Amino acid sequence: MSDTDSINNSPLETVRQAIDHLNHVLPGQGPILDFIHHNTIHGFQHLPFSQALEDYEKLTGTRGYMTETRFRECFNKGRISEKDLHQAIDSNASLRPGEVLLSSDKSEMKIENRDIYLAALRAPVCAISTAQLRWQLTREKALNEWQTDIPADAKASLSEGNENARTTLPALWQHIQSTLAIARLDQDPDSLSPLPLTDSQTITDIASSNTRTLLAEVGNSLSLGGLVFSLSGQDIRNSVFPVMMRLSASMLDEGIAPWHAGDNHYHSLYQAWRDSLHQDCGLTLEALAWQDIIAQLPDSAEETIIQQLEKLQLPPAKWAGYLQRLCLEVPGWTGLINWRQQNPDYHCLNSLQPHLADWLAIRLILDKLYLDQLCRQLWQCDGNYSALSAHLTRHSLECWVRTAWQQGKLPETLSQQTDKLDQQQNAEESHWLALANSLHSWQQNHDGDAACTAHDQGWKLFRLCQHLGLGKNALPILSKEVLTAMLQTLDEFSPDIRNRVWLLAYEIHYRNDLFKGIAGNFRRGNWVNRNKRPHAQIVMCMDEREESFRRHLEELNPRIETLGAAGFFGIPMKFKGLDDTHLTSLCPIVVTPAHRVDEKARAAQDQQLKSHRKGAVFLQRFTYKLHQSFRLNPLYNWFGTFLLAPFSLVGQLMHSLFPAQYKAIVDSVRRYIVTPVTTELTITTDSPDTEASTENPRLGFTDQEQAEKVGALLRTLGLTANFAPLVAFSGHGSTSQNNPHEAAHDCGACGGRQGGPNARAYAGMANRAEVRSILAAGGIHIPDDSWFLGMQHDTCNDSIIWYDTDLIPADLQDKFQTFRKNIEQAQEYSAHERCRRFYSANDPATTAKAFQHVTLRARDLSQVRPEYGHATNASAIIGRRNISQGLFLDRRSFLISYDPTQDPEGNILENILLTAGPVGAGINLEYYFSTIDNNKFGCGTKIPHNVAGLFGVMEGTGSDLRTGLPEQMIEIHEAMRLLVVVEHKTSVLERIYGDQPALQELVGGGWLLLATKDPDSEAIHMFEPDQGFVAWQDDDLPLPECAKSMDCYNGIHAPISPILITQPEGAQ
Amino acid sequence: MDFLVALIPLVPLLATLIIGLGQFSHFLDGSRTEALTSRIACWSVYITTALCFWLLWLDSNNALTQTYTVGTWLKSGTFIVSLSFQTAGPGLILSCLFSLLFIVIFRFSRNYLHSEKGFHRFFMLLSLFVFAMYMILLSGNVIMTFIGWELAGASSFLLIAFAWHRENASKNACMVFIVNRVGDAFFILAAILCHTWLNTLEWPEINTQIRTLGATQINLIAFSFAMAAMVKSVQFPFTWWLNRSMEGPTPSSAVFYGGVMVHSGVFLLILLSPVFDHSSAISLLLITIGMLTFAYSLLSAQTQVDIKSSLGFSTAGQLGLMFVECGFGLWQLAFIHLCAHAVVRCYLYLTAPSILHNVHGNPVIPVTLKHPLLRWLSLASLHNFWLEEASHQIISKPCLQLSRDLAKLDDNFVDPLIGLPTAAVLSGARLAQREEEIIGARLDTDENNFSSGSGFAGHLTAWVAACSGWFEHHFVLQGIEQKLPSAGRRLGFVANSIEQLLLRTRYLIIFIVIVLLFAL
Repeated sequence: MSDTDSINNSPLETVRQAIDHLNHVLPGQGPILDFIHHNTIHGFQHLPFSQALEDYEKLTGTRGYMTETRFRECFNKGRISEKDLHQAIDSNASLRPGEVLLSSDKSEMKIENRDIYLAALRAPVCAISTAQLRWQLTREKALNEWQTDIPADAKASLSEGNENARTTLPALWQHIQSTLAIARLDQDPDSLSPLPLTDSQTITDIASSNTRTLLAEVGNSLSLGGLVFSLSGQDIRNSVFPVMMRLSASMLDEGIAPWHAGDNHYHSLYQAWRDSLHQDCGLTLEALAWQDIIAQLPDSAEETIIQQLEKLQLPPAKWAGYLQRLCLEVPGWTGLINWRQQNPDYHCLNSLQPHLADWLAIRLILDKLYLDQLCRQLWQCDGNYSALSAHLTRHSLECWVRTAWQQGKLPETLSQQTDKLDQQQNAEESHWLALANSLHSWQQNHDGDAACTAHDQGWKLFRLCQHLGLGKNALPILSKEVLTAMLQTLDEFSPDIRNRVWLLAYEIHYRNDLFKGIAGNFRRGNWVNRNKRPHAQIVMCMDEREESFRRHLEELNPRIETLGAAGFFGIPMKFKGLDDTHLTSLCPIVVTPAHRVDEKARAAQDQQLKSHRKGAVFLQRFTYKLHQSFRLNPLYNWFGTFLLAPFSLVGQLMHSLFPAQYKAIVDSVRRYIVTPVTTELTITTDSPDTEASTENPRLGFTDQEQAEKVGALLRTLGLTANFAPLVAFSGHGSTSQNNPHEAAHDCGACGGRQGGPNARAYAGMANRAEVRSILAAGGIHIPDDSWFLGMQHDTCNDSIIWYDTDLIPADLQDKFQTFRKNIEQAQEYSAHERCRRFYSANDPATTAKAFQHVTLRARDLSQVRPEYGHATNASAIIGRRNISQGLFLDRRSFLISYDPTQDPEGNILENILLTAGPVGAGINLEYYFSTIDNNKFGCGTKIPHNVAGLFGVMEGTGSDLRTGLPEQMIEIHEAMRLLVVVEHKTSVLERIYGDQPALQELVGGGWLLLATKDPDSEAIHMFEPDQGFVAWQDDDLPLPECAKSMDCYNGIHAPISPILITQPEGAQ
Repeated sequence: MDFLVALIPLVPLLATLIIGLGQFSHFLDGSRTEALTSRIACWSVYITTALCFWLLWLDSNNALTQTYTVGTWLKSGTFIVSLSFQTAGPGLILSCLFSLLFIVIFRFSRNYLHSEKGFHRFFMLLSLFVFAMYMILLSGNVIMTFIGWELAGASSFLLIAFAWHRENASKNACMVFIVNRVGDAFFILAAILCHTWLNTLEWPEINTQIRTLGATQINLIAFSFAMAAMVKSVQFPFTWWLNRSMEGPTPSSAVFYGGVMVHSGVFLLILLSPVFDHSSAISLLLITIGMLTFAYSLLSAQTQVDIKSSLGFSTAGQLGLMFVECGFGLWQLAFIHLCAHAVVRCYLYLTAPSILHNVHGNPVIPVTLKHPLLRWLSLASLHNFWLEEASHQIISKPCLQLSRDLAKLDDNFVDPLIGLPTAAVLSGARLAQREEEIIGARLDTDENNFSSGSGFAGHLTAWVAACSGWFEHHFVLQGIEQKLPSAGRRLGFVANSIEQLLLRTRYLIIFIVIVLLFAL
């Protein structure tokens, strides 16, 4: 929002607009149980990627790229090669990489811009401080030994003709200094350089400009509390935040505490708080003057915000920015309040509807109270903007010294004197003047103002020359012009450009390997011609975690065909499991289901259901007592403690020492208490005439609806003919212990839930004769001897839940048993492949051991990495299975089945791109951001996490709510943007791109990378937003090949590039 | 076989030293050596567990003499500190129980802390804590228990600040550490009183000889120990520090604030049960404090929204009940309660991150508070009864002001008197010197350095010369410049302000305390 808007608007409008705008800035993560991956900086997605990152950094100070140190680590590990850097530099024409800076006919020496860029990327070439320079020259022997990080070829060229470091380096240093007329600075700067005596006017000017900048930052990057903190080191927010945090937590609670802030009388936190203000002893204890303000507080939160902003005497142009800053100081809490405000239908425990306005109103009032108190104590002025700015302008010298003092920019001597002055109340102005004088002198001595300094330009060139291999021989041609040009090129290659080049090179490395794999796999593999009937087909989620499972399954039985689709299988539904109390939506979050499906006991199961219910209720009561009553009712706790202690002690020891036996016991006790019962889903409605609507979801689907849904998915998959006798649909979920982020491992296409019920419902529908006959009329003939089957794959322990296996026709039982055996083997193999990434798995020797490991891992209370979730995701392949089958893709590719031959116009593809694109980008970008700066974008390490109110985690008992992914989930991730490879003609994609603004935003903005694989040839085209599709060039190096998956990964813990897997003879 | 008891604390101490030295020499560093570190730590716990149970078995066969003295550590007149251990009683049983919990915690931490930067540090500190705990449980005298008491506090401080780069963590660690010092002060006071009045520091002797003392003396000793126990076992009004301490890794929270350390206060009471049996006044105090803590935690727990705070208050409530049990003389019950609670609480803390899934679809039923008093209680409970703010106002602020006053006294009177240059002047010397150089002053020339000498006599002469020079400069020369009268006036001002200062409450309180201490 621009400043002019806010001036023209009424105050209320201004405040409302400002609060609405916050939706774009605050984290969009909802309650943690419904963890949905989304672009962490979703509010900036309308901008191009690099622009968004720049803007975000301006707003929050958080950089959107990995640090160069980490990129260099990747370079050293071989995850980025020199070739990739070349390619990345060359792709940016504005850098003029080929421009020659220096050439010499005699020694065939030639330096282009590109060489300087490469040197600057490979090792840091940047200015250092004078003290560091002194250290380098004296202690690190920079004039006697080559720089330690120069590459071998540079070293070779430096040492040409028996030159050594001792002779070359002093000459080089001397040459740079004399050519650029740099003042010598190899001695102690404190003792030698003359101290300029500055007239007081200069200092006053500096100081008042400092005050002006500081005041301008209020409402931008500073709140008033932040301003006072940046000058005095005393932070009112330390007093305000705990109160705000308790209030917000109490309001947002979903089931930990029985008493809440405000009760059923109130709908707004602000009103509840205001009415309890006179009872709040805290304010009295802190000796705040709160009685006066209480009478004047308006009824509505928004009016209070206006009143308080006016009291702070902030100019209306600053209001929006100021409110934004207040929220960004605690993005976690305000983000969740904002989420709840945007989702008013979310179930909640108490009557308070969370609103940002309430939070802001209370924050402003408390801020003002504490500010007044602190400002009076510090400077005898009121705690509002105009009083503070008047005071600081009058005492700009003090302000200047204080700023430097709080930023830690004072030398110790001066900082101690400032400490003293700070302690004295009413310190005289002359003392501050004296300090300001010393500070200025000191700064002059340290930074200097010469055009070229030894520690900056001199040092940079000194290092650069060594990295370029410019030794003694080159000195004659290193004229002043050349050196200046080199410096200029180096400076133009700003950190921002460097970051972009690094990221691109990182992506190019992966991209080239993947394209090579795909091109090399052309016309290989089992399913080039789908003319043989498969033994079985299995449709799994497009999730990249299923890639290994599918690959192993196909290796174990080449006659099994696997396919991938979004894991809700096109059936959006509100689902209520047998023991559930609530309905949950099993579909992508953007969809609101119009149908309901219940899990019910089958007929003639009354007895079993009764005992099941009894057990379930008992278990529920027991957990309630243990985990709720124990905390809240001490007397209960007292009795319970005595009763439970012996079991608890034995249990803990068993769990720790004999986990497998413990698991067996717990499982059998659970089975004994909650007896199993055979269930079915109510997929078919009893009342086909009632309208199904999102407001009033109808129980079950009509035959027509079922046929539509079943048919739609089959068409999307390209599975319209050649059905196997068994067609399995496998949803997925994840179960782990002690893991608040468990939902982040579940199926994103099912709204962060487990997708088994969708698979079961789909199979149930597709088996119905009514549905099949409608489908046949629409051109999809499912043979009578084909049976559809639902199942769920647990991505954490690789277990499988089979649904309704007793309904399989008797003549298919044999085939089912074989299929089941294949699946069981695939479970073990998949577990084995996953174990290569787990430190504590210790490279299990057999697949059975690996399976045992992941089984126990999922049940291990102490395991903070039960699985790695979507970590390492990097690409999505939309096309027929034969593109990827036979390739080892290292669980990095989303695999979405689609048959371009059945969709020449690309209409189905358009739909796939519109659904899978945003979902894939959301997952990928969340991992991207959480990886590059885990503390700012992610939620840090899990170790000190503390679950708050069932809606989130915080660190300890008094921090901001932490959003994003924990360190343990992303530590093996490679932060790069998702590369979508689509099997279709470029012309079709160009048409879709032109038609769909959503794709233009994602792909054109560079949030998602797009490539096509031609259906009829090996050709691959990469989409460049400014150039359109560009053909990719293969380097014609041979592609590695292994006999089976296990040979590809065994013993390797790092990421693996695509490898061809030898296909069995006569597979085609 | 009593000597086994001395090995019990020794093993974890050795583990601490080995891991510490390994880290210091960069031998144990990074994830490559994680397995080694955790193996050292785990094995030290396995060995101590075996030793504990062996000892318990021997004890149940009456094969032990109940105490074991390694030797004398300190001897100065009547003040004797021996290296003595107890090999019977509640300490031994608790050692066995806690060692089992240590096994659970140590094994738990292997995966939990994997690839954390402080992995090795964590195991070192946890081993140090194990050592401290065995010292508390098994040592035979006040001083050695106190060593354990302090080390437990120190390791808790270091583990709360495990993620020291987070400001909250280090701040809260300091706060908890400082609050715990209150209890330590009383522990020392108790030790001094025991030594002065009973002439012994051995636990068994204190317990047997206590009846020889008068009622006031017993009460004072009991009171001091009770205070120490109250702080450590988070009784009212110190309960709030428990909330502050939840910054460390989950397993350390479980072992310190759930399973083991917070119980050491109650253990101290149980250890000294005869003393408290002889002091009905302090027993009454224990009951009162216990009830207060119970009520306070009960009410506060009702509004806590984060699981660790909630568990913290629940823990405090149970500890309050233990205090009540102790106050009523139900020592056996209190001891069993302690054991049972340690086990269950440890489990609840370890599974705290599971709470989301354990109670999903099973939320607490919210209570609507209609009565105004209840609504006030709910508000008070939400802010933990403003206990922290109150203690900030009543204790920290005056202390801070006192320290500022002392600093002023130091800067303005003591330093000039003793003649030490103030720190700022010293470090500012370089800058000042440079400015003087520019002005043209020569400070380090020979003529300025008129008095110098070598050897003792030489230095003495130089010093005397400097002194007389200073005297002459300040009094004679300045006096002649009419500065003497103004100096006298200033002295008057100072005296006035001192008088004013002394009339402030904080100094009055200090005087009263000093007078009381002397009177006793």
